[in-house]
Amino acid sequence: MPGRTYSIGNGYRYSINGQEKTPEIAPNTTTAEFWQYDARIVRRWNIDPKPNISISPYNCFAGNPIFLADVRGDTVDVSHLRANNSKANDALISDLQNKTGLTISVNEKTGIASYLKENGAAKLARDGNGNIVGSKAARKELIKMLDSKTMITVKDDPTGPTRVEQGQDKKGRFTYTNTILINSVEIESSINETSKDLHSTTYGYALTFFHERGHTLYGGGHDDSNEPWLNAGDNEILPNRIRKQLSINGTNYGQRLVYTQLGVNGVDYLPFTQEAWDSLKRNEVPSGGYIIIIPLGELLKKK
Amino acid sequence: MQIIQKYLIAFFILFGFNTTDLKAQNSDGCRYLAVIDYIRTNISFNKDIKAFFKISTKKQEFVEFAIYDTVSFIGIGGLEERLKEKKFIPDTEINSRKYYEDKYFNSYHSSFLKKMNWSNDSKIYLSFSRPTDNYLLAELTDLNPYLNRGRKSGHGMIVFFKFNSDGLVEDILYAGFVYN
Repeated sequence: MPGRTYSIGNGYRYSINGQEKTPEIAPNTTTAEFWQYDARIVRRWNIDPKPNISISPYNCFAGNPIFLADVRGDTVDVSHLRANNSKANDALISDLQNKTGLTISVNEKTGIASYLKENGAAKLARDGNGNIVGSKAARKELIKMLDSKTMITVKDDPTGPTRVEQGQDKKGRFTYTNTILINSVEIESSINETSKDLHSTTYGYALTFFHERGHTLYGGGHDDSNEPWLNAGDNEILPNRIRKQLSINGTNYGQRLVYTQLGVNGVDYLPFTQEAWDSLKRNEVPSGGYIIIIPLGELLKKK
Repeated sequence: MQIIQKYLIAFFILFGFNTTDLKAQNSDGCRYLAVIDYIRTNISFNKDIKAFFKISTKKQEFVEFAIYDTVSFIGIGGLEERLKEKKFIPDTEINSRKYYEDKYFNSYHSSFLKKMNWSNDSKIYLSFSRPTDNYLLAELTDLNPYLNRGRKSGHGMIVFFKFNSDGLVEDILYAGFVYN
């Protein structure tokens, strides 16, 4: 038609970082899911959702697009949890901070979590004696997750147990995903039903999160114990290490010794000490070192 | 064994609703039967069930399952995005928390499902929610609900069954999970 032109094979479509150019927006721009940047000057138009205190929030690839890549511009996404259950989101972030000593912030617009840096390293909280707060293992793992290029998505779901989604690949095989569904009622119940001699968050938000991490594709896609009455399984190796590191100055987080709870007189107990486990094996009510597990059906009623 | 079960289903469909006991749950019962029949006969879905629960029986085309006779609320967590794509329910209802707040009901025993629960050695259990509008949510698990008093662990598959105007299963959506 008159006035219309077209061309085929307009040259190479791609810019840096494995992404297509978007010249229709402006020359030299590249658009990704969470950002838009000028590839020529390596500067983004929007502020970095994962800001690094030592780097300008408008910077891309720490100024080095040749060696560094960030295809999505994100890592841990709590936007769904925050939008649907802000109380649980705050509790998760707060507990993760307490267990790691990191300062975690969540971007208002994107829901992406990041940790605060100081002089290029993680800024760490210290107690009155100058000791770093939290567990080294928890801190190391969370920094790894937040620095990772893999997106972990944390969602709210009040209707089922806390769990990790599975997806299907092209061949129909089921594989683990990186989506964790959090049931805050279930976690709050564990906190409330912990015996007085244990720290109430030994099976709280952060340690549940680290357990679920083991189920994710990112965490290796581990199943829970196949001998649930005999051991706690691979997914409790990291949480138990964290509990051990947190059990100082008279605080006792115990150790999760088995995966499944044992019932005595119609009540289900999850043992966190050897004494509690021994009592349960004798069909006796333990005097401490346990969490009472309320069935999910009962918890759902208490809305 | 499977043939006997199929005859049993057919028997219930043809003659099962004459008793007073079953009349109360007649419409729900039709939905349950339609779902059981679908799982018993759909080869493609059975392949996925076998893949999900890592069942390696090559000789057996269809998966054996036991039926839990307590009807409990099942949510749509994990299905939200695909429900939006498929438009099976209004967009305004597709939020796991809102769905729970609007549709939750206390669990109840179903004498109808109890009659359907023939004993077998299956390690897979089928639990139902209450039929709503033109759909029904069900769950397949590898943890015996009769022994676990509603506690969930292991693997679970939430299945959304959509019915057509004849009450037959028209389409399904499902999501797999590793619990806790």
